[in-house]
Amino acid sequence: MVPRQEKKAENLFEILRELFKYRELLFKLTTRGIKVQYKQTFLGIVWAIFIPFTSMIIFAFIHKAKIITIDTGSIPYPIFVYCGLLPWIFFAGSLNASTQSLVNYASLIDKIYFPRAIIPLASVLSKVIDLVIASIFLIVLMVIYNIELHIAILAVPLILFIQIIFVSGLALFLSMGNLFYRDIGYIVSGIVPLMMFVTPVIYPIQMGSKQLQGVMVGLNPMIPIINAYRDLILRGRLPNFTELAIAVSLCFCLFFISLFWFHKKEHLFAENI
Amino acid sequence: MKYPVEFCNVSKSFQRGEKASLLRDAIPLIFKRFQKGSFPDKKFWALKNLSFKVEKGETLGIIGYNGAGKTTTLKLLAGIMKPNEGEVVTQGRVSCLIAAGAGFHPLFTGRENIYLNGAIMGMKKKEIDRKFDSIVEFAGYGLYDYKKFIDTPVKRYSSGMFVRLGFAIAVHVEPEILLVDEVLAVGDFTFQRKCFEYMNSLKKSKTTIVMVSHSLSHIVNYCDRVILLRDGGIDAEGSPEKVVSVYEAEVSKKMNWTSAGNVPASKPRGGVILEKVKFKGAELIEGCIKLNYLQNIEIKFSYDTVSYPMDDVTFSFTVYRKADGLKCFSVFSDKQGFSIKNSKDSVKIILKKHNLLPGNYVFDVEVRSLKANVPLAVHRERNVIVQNPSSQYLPSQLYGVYHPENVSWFTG
Repeated sequence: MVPRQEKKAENLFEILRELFKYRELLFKLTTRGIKVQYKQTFLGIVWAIFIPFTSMIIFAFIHKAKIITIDTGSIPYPIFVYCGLLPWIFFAGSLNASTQSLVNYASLIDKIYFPRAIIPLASVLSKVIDLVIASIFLIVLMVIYNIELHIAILAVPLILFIQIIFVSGLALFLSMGNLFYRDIGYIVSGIVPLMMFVTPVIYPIQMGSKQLQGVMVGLNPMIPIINAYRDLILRGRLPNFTELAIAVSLCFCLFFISLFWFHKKEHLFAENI
Repeated sequence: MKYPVEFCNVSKSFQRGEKASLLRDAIPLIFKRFQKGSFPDKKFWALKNLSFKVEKGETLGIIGYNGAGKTTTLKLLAGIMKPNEGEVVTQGRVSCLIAAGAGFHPLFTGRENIYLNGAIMGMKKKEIDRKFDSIVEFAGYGLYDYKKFIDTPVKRYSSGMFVRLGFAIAVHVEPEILLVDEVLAVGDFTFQRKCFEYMNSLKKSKTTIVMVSHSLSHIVNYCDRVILLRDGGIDAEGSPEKVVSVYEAEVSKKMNWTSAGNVPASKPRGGVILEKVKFKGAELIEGCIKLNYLQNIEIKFSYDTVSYPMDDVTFSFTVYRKADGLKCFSVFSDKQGFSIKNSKDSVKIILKKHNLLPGNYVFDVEVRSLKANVPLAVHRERNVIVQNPSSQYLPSQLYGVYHPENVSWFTG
């Protein structure tokens, strides 16, 4: 039984506690998101592999045909690009889905009380399953290219967690923005693909100056996150701690500020949706 | 003492006029605001300074015109919205029947939706497991076989089945406070009956219920106390009969409309005119006829006709319950001896101890043609109130419209 709170949560701790109380709902809505995605599609879960796989084929072809030259060091290009595409597609996909999530749940928001933050969070989490399924093919590639496993790979879930925190922070903020002003959704779907070009997805990003590198990392936590995935999985080494520390503090700050702001505004959702 | 539901000087406003829902529109608005210094006040107050309390186990009905603030009140209670001013306090688990079926996903089966919607309403998985059969049984009450469809996606459900399931889940939340908003209009007759039975059992287990309805008969039958809302404030408050009659009287005055609740109107063919219908021993106050409980009814009416003599006529007296148009009884005059012989004459009917329970009724006096079986003239008293001046007569275990006499109970 979840007795409805008589008093609204006031601080971050109470907000998190309320979310924790509704964890079963978070789980249910997450599975609902997954099921809906795969229920009426012919290929079902194969879709999760389809997009990263075809993207990888195209980029690998461009690389092989020498249309562009990219230096990836000792790592074969197809696995380099696939390893970058997976977290990127998760990032872009979950951001697009979660931005629309509150609006999609309008009929519920208008009628039942529950912490609204559950909705964008669930839509982010339901995209994790795509990432996991698509990772199966990464393992296949690792066997093909004979990539040596290193103990550092065990830290991958930690990086995934940091990425989820980052995406969730953005999702809370953007889904709320889209609820009040619908063009936020258009902006997101326009900007996110462009962001790929300032993120080391299909090519590594090496800045000339240290300062510029710092600014880029500070603005785009996806740079150290994707670098960290590659370091842990493909290069078998620990990632750059300074860069990662910047990203982690940024992600958590964003998440908590977004969550708090979201909480402050959520009572306005029903009448503005 | 703490009340489970408490409204303290609650005000809620909404934006009137169009609101910017695109940044393109919002940005110029912000500039305008800076320019003018102030923003034109386009607020609409849905609720103004509303205060009320509901006791534990009490059923409160809220009635009023569209836009009076009924649904806003429920949404504030449910925590979906926050008031601009004042405080809304609720103690205990709230279940809201505004929401029957709202969280359903059309692609999911009935079973999946029970778990999903249950979680949305704040139930744990174990709790839903335990109540699952009971929910399905409730949803399928009176239907041939609902269980067969529980693994079918709800998009293939009929709309009635859909709402039944939503309602069944909502009532199984075992709320301490139940909010009901006009949802009972859907569902067939058996299901409505089932719902009201359930609400009665909740009432007995001390659940606090707040009910919004336009069905005045439901309000009269199920509420302990009623609030009439107007323009976001309380216009009248008190016992259901009292408030409903205030509302009805006002509606009929406002619309100059023959308000007789749900009582069907009969169209007289004419040829006879009924004049001067007099109730002896009844008070006449503001268009209401007030009778005392277990009193005698004595009605004298005069008629006027040009087509006399008439043989095939009968006089009748009919009583309807006002709330739902239930015909309580109808008495006809003897066929012999009541023919119309003169142009003008009068007829009297006396009922010794009418045995109607306190409540609101509609009285019809008719002159009918026997052969054609049509009314020739009808006189309708729309506001008859049977009141109970000293409650000692009324046994507490008496419900309905009729007072049976000499009731005794024995054991063994």
